[in-house]
Amino acid sequence: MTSWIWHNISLELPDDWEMLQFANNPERGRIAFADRYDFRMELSWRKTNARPDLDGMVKDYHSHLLHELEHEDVDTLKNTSWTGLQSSRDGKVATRFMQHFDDAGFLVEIVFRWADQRDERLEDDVLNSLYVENSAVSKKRNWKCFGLDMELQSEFELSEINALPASVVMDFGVGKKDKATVRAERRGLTDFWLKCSISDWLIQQLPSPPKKIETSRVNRWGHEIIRIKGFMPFGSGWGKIFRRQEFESIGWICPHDRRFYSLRRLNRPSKASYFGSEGFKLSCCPNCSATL
Amino acid sequence: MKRKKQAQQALSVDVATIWRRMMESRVLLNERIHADRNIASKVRVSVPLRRPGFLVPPISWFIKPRERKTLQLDPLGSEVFSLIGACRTVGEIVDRFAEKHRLTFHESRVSVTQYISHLVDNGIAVVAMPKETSKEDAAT
Repeated sequence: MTSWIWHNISLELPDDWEMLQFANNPERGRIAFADRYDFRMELSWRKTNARPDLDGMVKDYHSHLLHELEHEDVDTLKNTSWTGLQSSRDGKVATRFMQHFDDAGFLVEIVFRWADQRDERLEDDVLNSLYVENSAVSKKRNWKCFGLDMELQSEFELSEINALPASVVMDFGVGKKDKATVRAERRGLTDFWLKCSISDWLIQQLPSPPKKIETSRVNRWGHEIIRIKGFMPFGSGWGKIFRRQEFESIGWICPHDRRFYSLRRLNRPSKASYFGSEGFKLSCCPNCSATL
Repeated sequence: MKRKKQAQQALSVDVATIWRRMMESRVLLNERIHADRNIASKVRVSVPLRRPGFLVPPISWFIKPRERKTLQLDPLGSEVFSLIGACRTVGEIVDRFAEKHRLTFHESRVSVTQYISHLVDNGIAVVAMPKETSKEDAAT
């Protein structure tokens, strides 16, 4: 099983289920996972102000499936903490579950689409592994998706994600107009695109040429982690002389999956730094994690 | 609302069918292409061009169209091109590409199908889809 954490929703899924659809709204959204044959699970979440009437929702959904979507064999299901329904259509069985997480104030709905028969054991494993972390309480926020395993300061929100085959770039920001940003990347097929040293590549990715750079490297369990740190001019015209933007980047290739991992932080010129002392952590495998 | 939901449901059913048919499809190379490899293992393919219909005498006496076009495939495209000869189905190409580059199934599927579509667009290959079996056929 593989762990996934998306917008504070944590769950474990079979290794061959991949996230093919996702939403970036922390208050309301949907993600969908597929194996090599079909979509297998859809998860949707919604921030709530009060606990909804789950039994009433299931009842409404029951009649909706039966009368409007023309599903057959609609039965009510009860897991320890989940309320659900089972139905079938065109010989395909689907199970739906919902639970309200009172602490976090989230309603989570899950739909499993089974290939042949319902796998109750797998269903239980997934449902029992799912929890929603209360972001108001914790200072850290974890993300586990697309092979990236990150630990960020909780005030950093996901602002943009660019997920392509074998290339994922996630941008997080804080403050007005993203005063401070953190970028996490994971890229495969390194032999085909990484034609320079890792430090050179990290420098090339900066928004403008740096004025000062310090480079260091550390070897951790066979992972050679390159770190660059410095500042670059910020703004335009005369402002460039006086204003500067600090940056720090780390990058390495994991010897286990031969993928390139990098983490970068940029701080816009301001009196206060948006980066606390907690730091940001990116892990590629159980053997290696690096902190900014 | 109801129509939208039904459309969504129909769409998700189609995804499974589309994927399955795509994975079972065969990629066949154009028999009239010439392919060679350079030192960097990149494949260069020469593809015959169709003679335009308006080229009839006396226009054809003056206008001599190109008979072939040459395409230089990038390293990944070259690899997919090589796999087409070695594999029977798109699914096999996807699996071997994923295994070689340590990609997940869907990462490999999207990459490989993009390259195959590029080859098809340029007349280098064609994709032979399996016949769609109806539910009655499948049952018997």
